[in-house]
Amino acid sequence: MAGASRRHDDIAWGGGLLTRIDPRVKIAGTVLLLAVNLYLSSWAFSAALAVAMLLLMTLGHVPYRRQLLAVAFPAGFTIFAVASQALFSGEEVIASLGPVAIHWDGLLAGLVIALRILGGALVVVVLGVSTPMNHLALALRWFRVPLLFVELLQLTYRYLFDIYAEFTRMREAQRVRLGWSNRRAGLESSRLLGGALFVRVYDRGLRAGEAMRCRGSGPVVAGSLGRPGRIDLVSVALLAEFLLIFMNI
Amino acid sequence: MHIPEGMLPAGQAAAWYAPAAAFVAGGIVQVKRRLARAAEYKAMLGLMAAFVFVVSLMPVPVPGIGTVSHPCGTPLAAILLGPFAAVLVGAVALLMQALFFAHGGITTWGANILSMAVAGSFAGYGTYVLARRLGLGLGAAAGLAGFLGDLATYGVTSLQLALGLHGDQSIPVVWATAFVSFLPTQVPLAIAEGLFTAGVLVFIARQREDILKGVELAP
Repeated sequence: MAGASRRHDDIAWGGGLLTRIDPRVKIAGTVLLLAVNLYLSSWAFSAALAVAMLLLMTLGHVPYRRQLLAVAFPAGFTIFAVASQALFSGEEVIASLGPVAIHWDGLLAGLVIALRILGGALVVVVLGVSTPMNHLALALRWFRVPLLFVELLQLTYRYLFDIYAEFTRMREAQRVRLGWSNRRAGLESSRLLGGALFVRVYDRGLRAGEAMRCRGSGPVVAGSLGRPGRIDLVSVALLAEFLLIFMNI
Repeated sequence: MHIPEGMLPAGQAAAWYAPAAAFVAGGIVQVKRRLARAAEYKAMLGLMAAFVFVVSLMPVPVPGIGTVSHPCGTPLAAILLGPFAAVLVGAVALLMQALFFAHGGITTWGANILSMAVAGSFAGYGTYVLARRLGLGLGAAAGLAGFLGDLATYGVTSLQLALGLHGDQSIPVVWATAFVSFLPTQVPLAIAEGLFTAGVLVFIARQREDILKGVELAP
Protein backbone atom coordinates (compact mmCIF):
# COMPACT_ATOMS: atom_id res chain seq x y z
CA MET A 1 0.00 0.00 0.00
CA ALA A 2 2.69 2.43 1.04
CA GLY A 3 4.60 2.01 -2.19
CA ALA A 4 1.50 2.49 -4.29
CA SER A 5 0.30 5.44 -2.25
CA ARG A 6 3.66 7.19 -2.12
CA ARG A 7 3.86 6.73 -5.82
CA HIS A 8 0.31 8.04 -6.03
CA ASP A 9 1.38 11.16 -4.16
CA ASP A 10 4.51 11.58 -6.27
CA ILE A 11 2.47 11.26 -9.45
CA ALA A 12 -0.15 13.68 -8.17
CA TRP A 13 2.52 16.27 -7.39
CA GLY A 14 4.56 15.42 -10.47
CA GLY A 15 3.48 18.51 -12.35
CA GLY A 16 2.24 16.60 -15.37
CA LEU A 17 -0.41 17.88 -17.72
CA LEU A 18 -3.25 16.35 -15.70
CA THR A 19 -2.04 17.84 -12.42
CA ARG A 20 -2.19 21.35 -13.86
CA ILE A 21 -5.91 21.13 -14.62
CA ASP A 22 -8.05 22.86 -11.98
CA PRO A 23 -9.33 20.22 -9.50
CA ARG A 24 -12.86 21.67 -9.71
CA VAL A 25 -12.86 20.97 -13.45
CA LYS A 26 -11.51 17.48 -12.81
CA ILE A 27 -14.12 16.69 -10.16
CA ALA A 28 -17.00 18.05 -12.25
CA GLY A 29 -15.68 16.24 -15.34
CA THR A 30 -15.29 12.99 -13.40
CA VAL A 31 -18.84 13.13 -12.03
CA LEU A 32 -20.21 13.97 -15.49
CA LEU A 33 -18.32 11.14 -17.20
CA LEU A 34 -19.35 8.62 -14.53
CA ALA A 35 -23.00 9.69 -14.78
CA VAL A 36 -22.99 9.42 -18.59
CA ASN A 37 -21.19 6.07 -18.33
CA LEU A 38 -24.01 4.70 -16.18
CA TYR A 39 -26.83 6.47 -18.02
CA LEU A 40 -25.83 5.45 -21.55
CA SER A 41 -24.67 1.97 -20.51
CA SER A 42 -23.17 1.49 -23.96
CA TRP A 43 -20.20 -0.73 -24.71
CA ALA A 44 -18.83 1.81 -27.21
CA PHE A 45 -18.86 4.70 -24.74
CA SER A 46 -17.38 2.65 -21.89
CA ALA A 47 -14.67 1.18 -24.11
CA ALA A 48 -13.79 4.62 -25.50
CA LEU A 49 -13.70 5.98 -21.95
CA ALA A 50 -11.32 3.23 -20.85
CA VAL A 51 -9.01 3.82 -23.83
CA ALA A 52 -9.10 7.59 -23.31
CA MET A 53 -8.23 7.24 -19.62
CA LEU A 54 -5.37 4.82 -20.32
CA LEU A 55 -4.09 7.27 -22.92
CA LEU A 56 -4.36 10.18 -20.48
CA MET A 57 -2.46 8.22 -17.83
CA THR A 58 0.25 7.31 -20.30
CA LEU A 59 0.57 10.96 -21.39
CA GLY A 60 0.65 11.93 -17.70
CA HIS A 61 3.58 9.50 -17.14
CA VAL A 62 1.57 7.31 -14.76
CA PRO A 63 3.59 4.06 -14.45
CA TYR A 64 2.08 1.02 -16.18
CA ARG A 65 2.21 -0.90 -12.89
CA ARG A 66 -0.03 1.74 -11.31
CA GLN A 67 -2.41 1.52 -14.28
CA LEU A 68 -2.56 -2.26 -13.91
CA LEU A 69 -3.27 -1.92 -10.19
CA ALA A 70 -6.23 0.28 -11.08
CA VAL A 71 -7.93 -2.45 -13.08
CA ALA A 72 -6.85 -5.39 -10.91
CA PHE A 73 -9.46 -4.96 -8.20
CA PRO A 74 -12.55 -4.44 -10.38
CA ALA A 75 -11.52 -7.40 -12.59
CA GLY A 76 -13.03 -9.96 -10.18
CA PHE A 77 -16.33 -8.11 -10.16
CA THR A 78 -16.48 -7.98 -13.95
CA ILE A 79 -16.43 -11.79 -13.97
CA PHE A 80 -19.30 -11.79 -11.46
CA ALA A 81 -21.23 -9.29 -13.59
CA VAL A 82 -20.82 -11.32 -16.78
CA ALA A 83 -21.69 -14.60 -15.05
CA SER A 84 -24.76 -13.23 -13.25
CA GLN A 85 -26.17 -11.65 -16.42
CA ALA A 86 -25.49 -14.72 -18.56
CA LEU A 87 -27.28 -16.91 -16.00
CA PHE A 88 -30.12 -14.67 -14.84
CA SER A 89 -30.91 -12.59 -17.89
CA GLY A 90 -31.89 -13.15 -21.53
CA GLU A 91 -33.84 -15.65 -23.61
CA GLU A 92 -31.51 -17.09 -26.26
CA VAL A 93 -29.93 -20.15 -24.64
CA ILE A 94 -26.46 -21.09 -25.90
CA ALA A 95 -25.68 -23.82 -23.37
CA SER A 96 -27.51 -25.49 -20.51
CA LEU A 97 -26.88 -27.98 -17.77
CA GLY A 98 -30.07 -29.08 -16.04
CA PRO A 99 -31.86 -26.00 -14.69
CA VAL A 100 -28.82 -23.76 -15.30
CA ALA A 101 -28.72 -22.06 -18.71
CA ILE A 102 -26.31 -19.55 -20.25
CA HIS A 103 -28.03 -16.90 -22.38
CA TRP A 104 -26.40 -15.14 -25.32
CA ASP A 105 -28.20 -11.81 -24.79
CA GLY A 106 -27.46 -12.00 -21.06
CA LEU A 107 -23.80 -12.61 -21.83
CA LEU A 108 -23.72 -9.49 -24.01
CA ALA A 109 -25.46 -7.45 -21.27
CA GLY A 110 -22.85 -8.73 -18.81
CA LEU A 111 -20.02 -7.65 -21.10
CA VAL A 112 -21.53 -4.17 -21.28
CA ILE A 113 -21.51 -3.99 -17.46
CA ALA A 114 -17.93 -5.28 -17.40
CA LEU A 115 -16.83 -2.51 -19.78
CA ARG A 116 -18.82 0.02 -17.74
CA ILE A 117 -16.90 -1.06 -14.62
CA LEU A 118 -13.55 -0.85 -16.41
CA GLY A 119 -14.23 2.58 -17.92
CA GLY A 120 -15.65 3.98 -14.69
CA ALA A 121 -12.84 2.64 -12.49
CA LEU A 122 -10.23 4.18 -14.77
CA VAL A 123 -11.96 7.59 -14.63
CA VAL A 124 -11.83 7.49 -10.81
CA VAL A 125 -8.18 6.47 -10.83
CA VAL A 126 -7.26 9.30 -13.22
CA LEU A 127 -8.82 11.76 -10.76
CA GLY A 128 -6.95 10.07 -7.90
CA VAL A 129 -3.50 10.00 -9.46
CA SER A 130 -3.67 13.51 -10.90
CA THR A 131 -4.99 15.47 -7.91
CA PRO A 132 -2.90 16.22 -4.80
CA MET A 133 -4.98 15.76 -1.67
CA ASN A 134 -4.91 19.43 -0.62
CA HIS A 135 -6.15 20.50 -4.08
CA LEU A 136 -8.90 17.91 -3.79
CA ALA A 137 -9.84 19.22 -0.33
CA LEU A 138 -10.02 22.84 -1.54
CA ALA A 139 -12.14 21.82 -4.51
CA LEU A 140 -14.49 19.81 -2.30
CA ARG A 141 -14.94 22.86 -0.07
CA TRP A 142 -15.71 24.92 -3.19
CA PHE A 143 -18.46 22.38 -3.94
CA ARG A 144 -19.81 22.99 -0.39
CA VAL A 145 -18.90 19.58 1.01
CA PRO A 146 -19.15 19.90 4.85
CA LEU A 147 -15.95 21.31 6.36
CA LEU A 148 -15.68 18.58 9.00
CA PHE A 149 -15.72 15.87 6.35
CA VAL A 150 -13.05 17.59 4.25
CA GLU A 151 -10.88 18.25 7.30
CA LEU A 152 -11.18 14.61 8.27
CA LEU A 153 -10.13 13.62 4.78
CA GLN A 154 -7.06 15.87 5.04
CA LEU A 155 -6.11 14.64 8.51
CA THR A 156 -6.52 11.02 7.49
CA TYR A 157 -4.26 11.54 4.51
CA ARG A 158 -1.70 13.36 6.66
CA TYR A 159 -1.46 10.49 9.19
CA LEU A 160 -1.94 7.59 6.81
CA PHE A 161 1.68 7.17 5.72
CA ASP A 162 3.07 7.38 9.27
CA ILE A 163 0.62 4.78 10.50
CA TYR A 164 1.30 2.52 7.56
CA ALA A 165 5.07 2.82 8.10
CA GLU A 166 4.58 1.87 11.76
CA PHE A 167 2.34 -1.03 10.76
CA THR A 168 4.97 -2.30 8.30
CA ARG A 169 7.77 -2.03 10.89
CA MET A 170 5.80 -3.99 13.47
CA ARG A 171 4.79 -6.66 10.97
CA GLU A 172 8.36 -7.11 9.76
CA ALA A 173 9.51 -7.46 13.38
CA GLN A 174 6.84 -10.12 13.92
CA ARG A 175 7.88 -11.90 10.74
CA VAL A 176 11.51 -12.05 11.89
CA ARG A 177 10.32 -13.73 15.10
CA LEU A 178 8.31 -16.24 12.98
CA GLY A 179 5.07 -14.59 14.00
CA TRP A 180 3.47 -15.43 10.66
CA SER A 181 4.97 -18.90 10.18
CA ASN A 182 1.62 -20.72 10.36
CA ARG A 183 -2.08 -19.86 10.50
CA ARG A 184 -2.39 -19.99 14.28
CA ALA A 185 0.68 -17.81 14.76
CA GLY A 186 -0.64 -15.48 12.07
CA LEU A 187 -3.95 -15.03 13.86
CA GLU A 188 -2.18 -14.33 17.15
CA SER A 189 0.16 -11.89 15.39
CA SER A 190 -2.70 -10.05 13.67
CA ARG A 191 -4.38 -9.61 17.08
CA LEU A 192 -1.18 -8.21 18.60
CA LEU A 193 -0.51 -6.06 15.57
CA GLY A 194 -4.02 -4.56 15.51
CA GLY A 195 -4.00 -3.91 19.25
CA ALA A 196 -0.50 -2.42 19.39
CA LEU A 197 -1.21 -0.27 16.34
CA PHE A 198 -4.40 1.04 17.94
CA VAL A 199 -2.61 1.95 21.18
CA ARG A 200 0.06 3.85 19.22
CA VAL A 201 -2.56 5.59 17.11
CA TYR A 202 -4.47 6.56 20.22
CA ASP A 203 -1.42 7.99 22.01
CA ARG A 204 -0.38 9.86 18.91
CA GLY A 205 -3.94 11.18 18.51
CA LEU A 206 -3.84 12.60 22.03
CA ARG A 207 -0.45 14.24 21.40
CA ALA A 208 -1.51 15.63 18.02
CA GLY A 209 -4.73 16.99 19.51
CA GLU A 210 -2.85 18.65 22.38
CA ALA A 211 -0.32 20.14 19.96
CA MET A 212 -3.08 21.51 17.74
CA ARG A 213 -4.79 23.08 20.75
CA CYS A 214 -1.50 24.57 22.09
CA ARG A 215 -0.67 26.33 18.86
CA GLY A 216 -4.25 27.55 18.48
CA SER A 217 -4.53 25.63 15.25
CA GLY A 218 -7.06 27.05 12.80
CA PRO A 219 -8.84 25.27 10.00
CA VAL A 220 -7.06 22.27 8.49
CA VAL A 221 -8.24 23.21 5.01
CA ALA A 222 -6.70 26.56 4.04
CA GLY A 223 -5.68 28.30 0.81
CA SER A 224 -7.42 29.04 -2.45
CA LEU A 225 -7.48 27.54 -5.90
CA GLY A 226 -7.35 30.69 -8.00
CA ARG A 227 -9.13 31.28 -11.28
CA PRO A 228 -9.38 28.59 -13.96
CA GLY A 229 -6.89 29.13 -16.78
CA ARG A 230 -6.53 28.33 -20.48
CA ILE A 231 -5.71 24.66 -19.85
CA ASP A 232 -9.02 24.32 -17.99
CA LEU A 233 -11.00 25.82 -20.88
CA VAL A 234 -9.28 23.44 -23.30
CA SER A 235 -10.08 20.51 -20.98
CA VAL A 236 -13.75 21.48 -20.81
CA ALA A 237 -13.89 21.84 -24.60
CA LEU A 238 -12.30 18.42 -25.12
CA LEU A 239 -14.65 16.84 -22.61
CA ALA A 240 -17.69 18.41 -24.30
CA GLU A 241 -16.43 17.20 -27.70
CA PHE A 242 -15.96 13.66 -26.37
CA LEU A 243 -19.47 13.62 -24.91
CA LEU A 244 -21.09 15.14 -28.01
CA ILE A 245 -19.58 12.50 -30.26
CA PHE A 246 -21.09 9.71 -28.21
CA MET A 247 -24.41 11.43 -27.54
CA ASN A 248 -24.89 11.73 -31.31
CA ILE A 249 -24.00 8.09 -31.91
CA MET B 1 -16.59 -6.43 -0.45
CA HIS B 2 -16.41 -3.01 -2.09
CA ILE B 3 -18.76 -2.69 -5.06
CA PRO B 4 -16.63 -1.21 -7.87
CA GLU B 5 -17.42 1.85 -9.96
CA GLY B 6 -19.96 1.22 -12.72
CA MET B 7 -21.38 -2.00 -11.27
CA LEU B 8 -24.80 -0.64 -10.26
CA PRO B 9 -27.36 0.92 -12.62
CA ALA B 10 -27.65 4.74 -12.50
CA GLY B 11 -30.96 4.92 -10.61
CA GLN B 12 -29.88 2.51 -7.90
CA ALA B 13 -26.43 4.06 -7.50
CA ALA B 14 -28.16 7.41 -6.90
CA ALA B 15 -30.80 5.92 -4.60
CA TRP B 16 -28.21 4.39 -2.22
CA TYR B 17 -26.75 7.85 -1.70
CA ALA B 18 -29.84 9.11 0.17
CA PRO B 19 -29.73 6.77 3.21
CA ALA B 20 -25.92 6.86 3.23
CA ALA B 21 -25.96 10.68 3.33
CA ALA B 22 -28.41 10.59 6.24
CA PHE B 23 -26.09 8.39 8.29
CA VAL B 24 -23.00 10.44 7.39
CA ALA B 25 -24.91 13.60 8.38
CA GLY B 26 -25.77 11.89 11.67
CA GLY B 27 -22.08 11.18 12.16
CA ILE B 28 -21.15 14.79 11.43
CA VAL B 29 -23.72 16.09 13.94
CA GLN B 30 -22.52 13.69 16.64
CA VAL B 31 -18.86 14.45 16.06
CA LYS B 32 -19.48 18.23 16.01
CA ARG B 33 -21.21 17.94 19.38
CA ARG B 34 -18.20 16.10 20.72
CA LEU B 35 -15.79 18.61 19.18
CA ALA B 36 -17.56 21.44 20.98
CA ARG B 37 -16.49 19.78 24.25
CA ALA B 38 -13.02 18.63 23.17
CA ALA B 39 -11.44 20.20 20.08
CA GLU B 40 -8.51 17.75 20.13
CA TYR B 41 -10.94 14.97 19.20
CA LYS B 42 -10.55 16.02 15.53
CA ALA B 43 -6.97 14.80 15.34
CA MET B 44 -7.97 11.57 17.06
CA LEU B 45 -10.72 11.01 14.51
CA GLY B 46 -8.32 11.60 11.60
CA LEU B 47 -5.94 9.05 13.06
CA MET B 48 -8.79 6.60 13.60
CA ALA B 49 -9.84 6.92 9.96
CA ALA B 50 -6.24 6.19 8.94
CA PHE B 51 -6.29 3.23 11.37
CA VAL B 52 -9.48 1.84 9.76
CA PHE B 53 -7.92 2.35 6.32
CA VAL B 54 -4.78 0.40 7.31
CA VAL B 55 -6.70 -2.31 9.22
CA SER B 56 -8.98 -2.91 6.24
CA LEU B 57 -5.84 -3.69 4.21
CA MET B 58 -4.28 -5.86 6.92
CA PRO B 59 -3.89 -9.55 6.02
CA VAL B 60 -5.66 -11.84 8.50
CA PRO B 61 -5.44 -15.65 8.05
CA VAL B 62 -8.89 -17.06 7.27
CA PRO B 63 -9.58 -20.30 9.19
CA GLY B 64 -10.56 -23.30 7.07
CA ILE B 65 -9.79 -22.06 3.57
CA GLY B 66 -6.03 -21.55 3.91
CA THR B 67 -5.81 -18.01 2.62
CA VAL B 68 -5.59 -14.48 3.99
CA SER B 69 -8.19 -11.76 3.67
CA HIS B 70 -8.85 -8.27 4.98
CA PRO B 71 -11.20 -7.37 7.83
CA CYS B 72 -13.81 -4.62 7.36
CA GLY B 73 -12.60 -2.92 10.54
CA THR B 74 -15.91 -1.09 10.96
CA PRO B 75 -17.32 -3.27 13.81
CA LEU B 76 -14.12 -2.58 15.77
CA ALA B 77 -14.26 1.14 14.96
CA ALA B 78 -17.92 1.27 16.06
CA ILE B 79 -17.14 -0.34 19.42
CA LEU B 80 -14.29 2.13 20.01
CA LEU B 81 -15.80 5.33 18.58
CA GLY B 82 -19.57 4.76 18.61
CA PRO B 83 -21.57 3.80 15.49
CA PHE B 84 -22.21 7.25 13.96
CA ALA B 85 -18.60 8.38 14.25
CA ALA B 86 -17.56 5.01 12.80
CA VAL B 87 -19.84 5.67 9.79
CA LEU B 88 -18.10 9.01 9.19
CA VAL B 89 -14.66 7.47 9.56
CA GLY B 90 -15.68 4.58 7.30
CA ALA B 91 -16.98 6.97 4.63
CA VAL B 92 -13.65 8.82 4.57
CA ALA B 93 -11.69 5.56 4.37
CA LEU B 94 -13.92 4.30 1.53
CA LEU B 95 -13.47 7.48 -0.51
CA MET B 96 -9.69 7.28 -0.15
CA GLN B 97 -9.62 3.59 -1.08
CA ALA B 98 -11.66 4.37 -4.21
CA LEU B 99 -9.28 7.17 -5.25
CA PHE B 100 -6.06 5.31 -4.41
CA PHE B 101 -6.80 1.74 -5.49
CA ALA B 102 -10.16 1.71 -7.33
CA HIS B 103 -11.48 -0.33 -4.34
CA GLY B 104 -15.08 0.83 -4.59
CA GLY B 105 -16.03 3.88 -6.63
CA ILE B 106 -17.66 7.30 -6.72
CA THR B 107 -21.12 6.34 -7.97
CA THR B 108 -21.07 3.24 -5.74
CA TRP B 109 -19.77 5.21 -2.73
CA GLY B 110 -23.29 5.52 -1.28
CA ALA B 111 -23.94 1.78 -1.61
CA ASN B 112 -20.55 0.95 -0.08
CA ILE B 113 -21.07 3.38 2.81
CA LEU B 114 -24.39 1.70 3.52
CA SER B 115 -23.04 -1.85 3.44
CA MET B 116 -19.59 -1.47 4.98
CA ALA B 117 -19.81 1.60 7.18
CA VAL B 118 -23.49 1.62 8.23
CA ALA B 119 -24.42 -2.09 8.32
CA GLY B 120 -20.98 -3.14 9.64
CA SER B 121 -20.90 -0.46 12.32
CA PHE B 122 -24.48 -0.69 13.55
CA ALA B 123 -24.69 -4.50 13.47
CA GLY B 124 -21.32 -4.72 15.24
CA TYR B 125 -22.11 -2.05 17.80
CA GLY B 126 -25.63 -3.35 18.49
CA THR B 127 -24.36 -6.89 18.96
CA TYR B 128 -21.57 -5.72 21.27
CA VAL B 129 -23.91 -3.68 23.50
CA LEU B 130 -26.51 -6.45 23.62
CA ALA B 131 -23.96 -9.14 24.35
CA ARG B 132 -22.42 -7.09 27.18
CA ARG B 133 -25.86 -6.49 28.68
CA LEU B 134 -26.49 -10.23 28.53
CA GLY B 135 -23.36 -10.70 30.60
CA LEU B 136 -20.88 -11.92 27.98
CA GLY B 137 -17.21 -11.14 28.53
CA LEU B 138 -15.38 -8.44 26.57
CA GLY B 139 -13.69 -10.89 24.18
CA ALA B 140 -16.83 -12.93 23.47
CA ALA B 141 -18.97 -9.81 22.93
CA ALA B 142 -16.38 -8.23 20.63
CA GLY B 143 -15.92 -11.52 18.74
CA LEU B 144 -19.65 -11.85 18.17
CA ALA B 145 -19.81 -8.19 17.10
CA GLY B 146 -17.02 -8.68 14.55
CA PHE B 147 -18.61 -11.87 13.22
CA LEU B 148 -22.14 -10.45 12.83
CA GLY B 149 -20.88 -7.05 11.65
CA ASP B 150 -18.97 -8.76 8.85
CA LEU B 151 -21.95 -10.96 7.91
CA ALA B 152 -24.26 -7.91 7.91
CA THR B 153 -21.89 -6.10 5.55
CA TYR B 154 -21.84 -9.09 3.26
CA GLY B 155 -25.65 -9.53 3.44
CA VAL B 156 -26.29 -5.90 2.45
CA THR B 157 -23.69 -6.00 -0.33
CA SER B 158 -25.23 -9.14 -1.83
CA LEU B 159 -28.69 -7.52 -1.62
CA GLN B 160 -27.37 -4.44 -3.45
CA LEU B 161 -25.81 -6.65 -6.12
CA ALA B 162 -29.00 -8.71 -6.45
CA LEU B 163 -31.09 -5.55 -6.87
CA GLY B 164 -28.70 -4.27 -9.51
CA LEU B 165 -28.04 -7.46 -11.45
CA HIS B 166 -31.10 -9.68 -11.04
CA GLY B 167 -31.95 -9.55 -14.74
CA ASP B 168 -35.16 -11.46 -15.46
CA GLN B 169 -35.05 -13.45 -12.21
CA SER B 170 -36.81 -12.46 -9.00
CA ILE B 171 -34.68 -10.45 -6.57
CA PRO B 172 -34.99 -12.88 -3.61
CA VAL B 173 -33.82 -15.78 -5.80
CA VAL B 174 -30.72 -13.89 -6.99
CA TRP B 175 -30.02 -12.59 -3.49
CA ALA B 176 -30.29 -16.08 -2.01
CA THR B 177 -28.11 -17.49 -4.81
CA ALA B 178 -25.44 -14.83 -4.30
CA PHE B 179 -25.59 -15.16 -0.52
CA VAL B 180 -25.39 -18.95 -0.46
CA SER B 181 -22.74 -19.26 -3.17
CA PHE B 182 -20.36 -16.95 -1.29
CA LEU B 183 -21.09 -18.47 2.15
CA PRO B 184 -18.22 -21.00 2.05
CA THR B 185 -15.73 -18.12 1.84
CA GLN B 186 -17.68 -15.48 3.75
CA VAL B 187 -18.35 -17.47 6.94
CA PRO B 188 -14.65 -18.21 7.56
CA LEU B 189 -13.94 -14.56 6.76
CA ALA B 190 -16.54 -13.44 9.31
CA ILE B 191 -14.96 -15.82 11.87
CA ALA B 192 -11.58 -14.23 11.14
CA GLU B 193 -13.06 -10.75 11.62
CA GLY B 194 -14.62 -11.89 14.92
CA LEU B 195 -11.33 -13.33 16.18
CA PHE B 196 -9.49 -10.18 15.08
CA THR B 197 -11.99 -7.80 16.73
CA ALA B 198 -11.98 -9.80 19.97
CA GLY B 199 -8.18 -10.09 19.97
CA VAL B 200 -7.61 -6.38 19.46
CA LEU B 201 -10.11 -5.35 22.12
CA VAL B 202 -8.79 -7.84 24.68
CA PHE B 203 -5.24 -6.65 23.92
CA ILE B 204 -6.24 -3.03 24.55
CA ALA B 205 -8.12 -3.96 27.74
CA ARG B 206 -5.10 -5.85 29.08
CA GLN B 207 -2.37 -3.45 28.05
CA ARG B 208 -4.08 -0.07 28.30
CA GLU B 209 -7.29 -0.29 30.25
CA ASP B 210 -7.29 3.49 30.58
CA ILE B 211 -8.10 3.81 26.88
CA LEU B 212 -11.34 1.86 27.22
CA LYS B 213 -12.29 3.39 30.56
CA GLY B 214 -11.09 6.92 30.55
CA VAL B 215 -11.57 8.93 27.42
CA GLU B 216 -15.09 8.12 26.24
CA LEU B 217 -13.86 6.03 23.35
CA ALA B 218 -15.68 2.92 24.47
CA PRO B 219 -19.42 2.88 25.15
